[in-house]
Amino acid sequence: MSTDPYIWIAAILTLGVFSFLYKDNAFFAVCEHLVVGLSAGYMFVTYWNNVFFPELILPLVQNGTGSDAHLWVPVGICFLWACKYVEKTKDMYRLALAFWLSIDLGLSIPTHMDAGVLAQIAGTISAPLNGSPVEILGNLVLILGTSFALLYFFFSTEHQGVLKGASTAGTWVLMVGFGASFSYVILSRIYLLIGRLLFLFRDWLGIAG
Amino acid sequence: MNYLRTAAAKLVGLDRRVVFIAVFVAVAIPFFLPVHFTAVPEEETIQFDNALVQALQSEKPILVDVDFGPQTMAEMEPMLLALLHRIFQSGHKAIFLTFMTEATSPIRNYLAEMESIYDLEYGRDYVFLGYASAYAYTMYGLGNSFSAYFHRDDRGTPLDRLPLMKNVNSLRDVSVVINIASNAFPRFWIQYSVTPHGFDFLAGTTAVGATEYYPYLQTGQLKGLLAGGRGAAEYETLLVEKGILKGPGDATAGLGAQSLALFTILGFILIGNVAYFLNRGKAR
Repeated sequence: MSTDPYIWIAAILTLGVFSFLYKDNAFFAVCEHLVVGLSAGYMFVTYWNNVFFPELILPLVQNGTGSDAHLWVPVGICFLWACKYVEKTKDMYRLALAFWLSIDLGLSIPTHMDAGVLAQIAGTISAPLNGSPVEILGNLVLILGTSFALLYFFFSTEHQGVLKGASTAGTWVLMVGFGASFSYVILSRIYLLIGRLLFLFRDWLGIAG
Repeated sequence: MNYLRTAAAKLVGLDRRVVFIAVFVAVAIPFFLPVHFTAVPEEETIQFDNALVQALQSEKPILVDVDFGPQTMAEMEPMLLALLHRIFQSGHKAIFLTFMTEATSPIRNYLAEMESIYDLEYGRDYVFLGYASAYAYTMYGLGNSFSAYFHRDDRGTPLDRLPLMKNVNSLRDVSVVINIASNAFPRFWIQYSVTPHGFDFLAGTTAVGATEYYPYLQTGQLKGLLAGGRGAAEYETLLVEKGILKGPGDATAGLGAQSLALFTILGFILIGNVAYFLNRGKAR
């Protein structure tokens, strides 16, 4: 059994979180609040140490009227956000929102079109129908599966005849996809449990290899 | 038949705590049995290592973005440790950064561990740039300039005083970018940086997010993938076979527990469905 006090604290808190599986209780509530408080505090300190102080406050104090004068612009935008909380100036925050949205959308729309749409379409179209039978079958499933799944979302015409068959096939493709995702979710959660039990049995109690 | 339907009705209303106990026992038992499981590396894991081997032959350092916190450590930590051994045992240099505040402290610990094992020198063999905010802009911007987004490293040292960073001006100066992440950051890397700037990119993700990345493997936007704990176990197996790791790590140690737990859950799904259909007949 471990003699490290940090291991003991972690083990007791782990048991506290596990106690929720029986029913909600005060021990779990303490652990929950501890996580929220610690996370928020840690996040604030990291932001302060890595971003606010060295990247904004320090340069402004040292050279705010010189080469770092441009940093007053983000400070001004921060104040525009804060205007939301004062009745007379509350509409001013829209300027900050507009600034933020324009930059964010300007960056994300073209990059998403390139990386998420065009590259994927090109990848599907160019899937080669040659090689071993397994490769041909795999690429055929890719091309047809993508087409059927897209047809499922085509609502401009009533799903009848060939379109109905294709959209039904699309439903199956989507269901297989959801099934794969769900099984990966279970796998992921099981690994988290494994990690905690390994910690309890090996690091804390020392009874498992 | 009536007996079956009564049993089915009881099963449908089964206390969920019974399921919890069953899964707990299924996960716990393998730790006490002298049975060892091994993972067979899948294609995406082999691709990951092949791309990394290619990068290790370059003089340029590797950029590793680590984005996971304590909540997913069980799945991500074995993956990262295997990767760190792979990089530092080959004597290669690496630059680290994170876009998650809670990842900073674990990264410092991992790197301190590697420093003592491989006798590394900070600033020359590796650098930790620390936490970076505004991930989208930083990922995009690093393609043009490091110094515009990072003025100092995690220890507060200006970048121009770090020997390793002397020849690193943009992502063109690193051999490969690797993202070990428990969130959607690999997708953001692909969107904001890999596609516009064009460089080799590898990712390790939780199993939850893994399915999202297979299409990117097919298009070549992603050169290799470690998919969750399974991917980590496969990578550990691969590195043990290559003599990089002395023995399997925590991901492989969990394989037995994972297998038994999955069979238990599969059993519950089958029993639950049978009970549901029997019960539905009774309702009619």
